Amino acid sequence: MKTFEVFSTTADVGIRIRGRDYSELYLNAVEGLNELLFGQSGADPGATESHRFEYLGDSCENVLVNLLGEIAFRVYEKRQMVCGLRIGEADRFHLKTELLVIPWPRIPRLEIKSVTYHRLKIVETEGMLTAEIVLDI
Amino acid sequence: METADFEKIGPHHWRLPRKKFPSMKTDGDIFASQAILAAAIADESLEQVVNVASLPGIAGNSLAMADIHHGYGFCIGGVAAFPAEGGIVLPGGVGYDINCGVRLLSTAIPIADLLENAESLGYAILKRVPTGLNSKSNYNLERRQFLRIIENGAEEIVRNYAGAKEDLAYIESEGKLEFSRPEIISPRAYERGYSQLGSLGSGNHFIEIQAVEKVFDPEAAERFGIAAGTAALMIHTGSRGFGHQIATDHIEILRRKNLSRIKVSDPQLVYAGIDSEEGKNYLQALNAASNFAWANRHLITEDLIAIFERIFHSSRKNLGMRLVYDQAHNIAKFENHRLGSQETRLLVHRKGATRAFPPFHPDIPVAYRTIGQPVIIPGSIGAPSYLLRGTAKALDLTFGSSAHGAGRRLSRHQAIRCAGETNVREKLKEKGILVFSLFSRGLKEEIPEAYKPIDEVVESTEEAGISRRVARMTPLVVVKG
Repeated sequence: MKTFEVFSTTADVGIRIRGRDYSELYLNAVEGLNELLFGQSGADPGATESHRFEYLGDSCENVLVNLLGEIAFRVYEKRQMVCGLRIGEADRFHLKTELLVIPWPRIPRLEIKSVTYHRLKIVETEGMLTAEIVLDI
Repeated sequence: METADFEKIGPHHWRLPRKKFPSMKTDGDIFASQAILAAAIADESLEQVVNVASLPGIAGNSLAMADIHHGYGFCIGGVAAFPAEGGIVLPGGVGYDINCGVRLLSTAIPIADLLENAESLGYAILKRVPTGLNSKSNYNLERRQFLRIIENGAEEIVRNYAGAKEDLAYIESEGKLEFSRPEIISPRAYERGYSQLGSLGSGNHFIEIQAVEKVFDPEAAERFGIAAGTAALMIHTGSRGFGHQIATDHIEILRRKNLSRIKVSDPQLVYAGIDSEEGKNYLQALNAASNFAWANRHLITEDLIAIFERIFHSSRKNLGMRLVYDQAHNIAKFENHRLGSQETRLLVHRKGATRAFPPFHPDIPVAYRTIGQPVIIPGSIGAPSYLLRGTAKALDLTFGSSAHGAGRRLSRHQAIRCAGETNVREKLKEKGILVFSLFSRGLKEEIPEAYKPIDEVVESTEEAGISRRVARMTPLVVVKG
């Protein structure tokens, strides 16, 4: 089973993600975003720079939106690709991680302007967390 | 939902009565052909009209224009008003790209002269105006300079950078809304703003050099300074990352504060009382982003004028370059409207909708007072764009609003699939349209087939009586991010 899929809406795009726990869900969201923007996923062993990211939210949707918002900021303002997460703590309301970054491997395919809550709901079915997150481009 | 649920009120005017859904506090009105109505039912955007009609205190009806399509919470092409006293404000009713808008400039340059220089102009624009993803602002501003821009909008550009003071009269709200609280803007919004001022962006944003192909209303066209056979310039962009960050920040603030205690069908419809602290803060930030967008379009305008002056070895005056109008299509503003027999102060949200005020309205430029407000409806890449004018009927039916563009009908992936191996640039070149873009993928996403036919949108708008056609412009040079 794929851990992420990119899909499109009438005006924008989104990522459908799965994970057995919140750590995996957040990791797969980053993988999906990288596939969408750079056409590549998977951690880059050459990453030497990292940035601390910690977010305490009111829901897992809230954490996910803010994680992807942070990554989009790094991509477009810092011209970096977040090629992996070194997760310290991850649960429904909290994520503490290092964002592993490298300079843009190439110019991103598109510009994500905002990460939305549009129809966003993380659901758990038989031990698998799934979500669809729509990105404003 | 099906077409039979709608009552036909007039030509291209449909009503979904509030009795159809228990949550609706008012009717939903759609100004579109039957075909567009059917498409809107299919893409679920009419459910969003219902959701907006269900918001507390909505004044008048929940409205959708002919370019309706599915948005976040609130449909694109949607208009909704709430009382200034005791009403609500919702960031989802404005959208992420605050004060995304369009600006039209007229010129006295004959098409033949323009065509001789078309390629040079296209390359010069691509070189000078930051476009697309790999671009940064040409301006390296200090904080105090940036603050003055978000406080004063286009006025600041005219005062300290470039442009003519007379132009300000031809910008909606004269290019400036009241903003005095820089402390409410997040550091991240400032960072995104600094790096993107004066840039076009990507997606559906564009700069076009157009040919005024047909004039439908000679008196209005003359007053707007538009003549058949001459070139015109159109700019479509907004508040860039600054506005997006402000929208993101305030949706987050409102979501945390209010979502658990209000009843909305979609978290993107989260709202605050206009008089609440969160509501006031959002409105202030909205004004800052709006001012940024007007300044942004003004800076790009001045870049374009400088390019034209250099390539044609002539001054803007001799080239007849003049701002026809600049209008927002993602904004919320306080306006006076008649509700029943009473004049009421309302906060009108327009998301993918254009203000279209009629003749003699005090908020339109004096020079256009007997004609009505210019209404600019751009087409998709390769398609014509239209200049219209506002009507009294629009003021009666839509809070003085009209459509804003063609409206997407294919997703970006569908558009890329539809384009297949087609070389969009070459195909448009065969039609006499030169396209300048650093990325071919973006072009495929924006192919004409991805949008509703603009002629159908404009026809619906005119048949509904909410704007009247003045002129049609066809693209000659398109610069995309």
